[in-house]
Amino acid sequence: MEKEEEIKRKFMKPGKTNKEDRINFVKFWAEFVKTHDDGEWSEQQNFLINSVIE
Amino acid sequence: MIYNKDKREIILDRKLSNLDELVIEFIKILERYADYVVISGYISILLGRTRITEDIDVYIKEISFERFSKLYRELEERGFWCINAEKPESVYDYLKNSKAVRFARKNTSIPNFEVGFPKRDIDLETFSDFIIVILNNVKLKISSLERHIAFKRYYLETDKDIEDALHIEELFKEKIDYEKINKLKKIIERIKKEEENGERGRN
Repeated sequence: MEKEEEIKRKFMKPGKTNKEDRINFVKFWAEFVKTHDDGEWSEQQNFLINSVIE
Repeated sequence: MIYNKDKREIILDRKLSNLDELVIEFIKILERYADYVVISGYISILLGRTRITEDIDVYIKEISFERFSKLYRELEERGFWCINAEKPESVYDYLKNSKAVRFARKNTSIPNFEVGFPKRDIDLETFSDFIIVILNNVKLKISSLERHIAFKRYYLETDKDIEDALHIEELFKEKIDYEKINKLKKIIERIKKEEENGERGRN
């Protein structure tokens, strides 16, 4: 069971520089958005947005 | 999220953020008086990018002062204010002189809506190839993905803008018209050269 989860789970490659790391995260997150329901990714995104905008 | 390229339509079933709700509220007022297209950063955020913004950029097609006054009055009545000036005449003058004006909720300055008339041909063309985002039964007009990417990558060019473009490219890479982006890139490069030479002013 654990092995199956490891296979399904996607990992982000750390960047060599801060800029590369940010780019890698943008790609990692876009992949999450593509492969998950809108409700799921937007809930995470709203946690960020709603913490700043009331 | 489903993007139908032929219909120029994105169906989005996201949970609305406080920012989305504000945008919907503002656009519902705006669209009664002017044709509009949302451009720039909010597009990437609406479609999932993990960042916030202080402003939502909107082009509106030029309208008469009389019509603008009605829009202005309704915005005021519905709890918005213009950050740039108090009198609608002054705000309209800014718009007519190719300046963008900002509206925010009363007693706040951020987030705000940066509203402007399109100035250049390339800006006006935003109205000819826009996409409709169907967001929980509300329709929002946004600029085409190609236009969005081209402006972010080749006009604005900051790290944030390039990441905004990358997010959209990664999401829709199979459906993006890269030839169109290249055509826009050439126009943008020409505009930037003209701006450097002081031929046109643009913030």
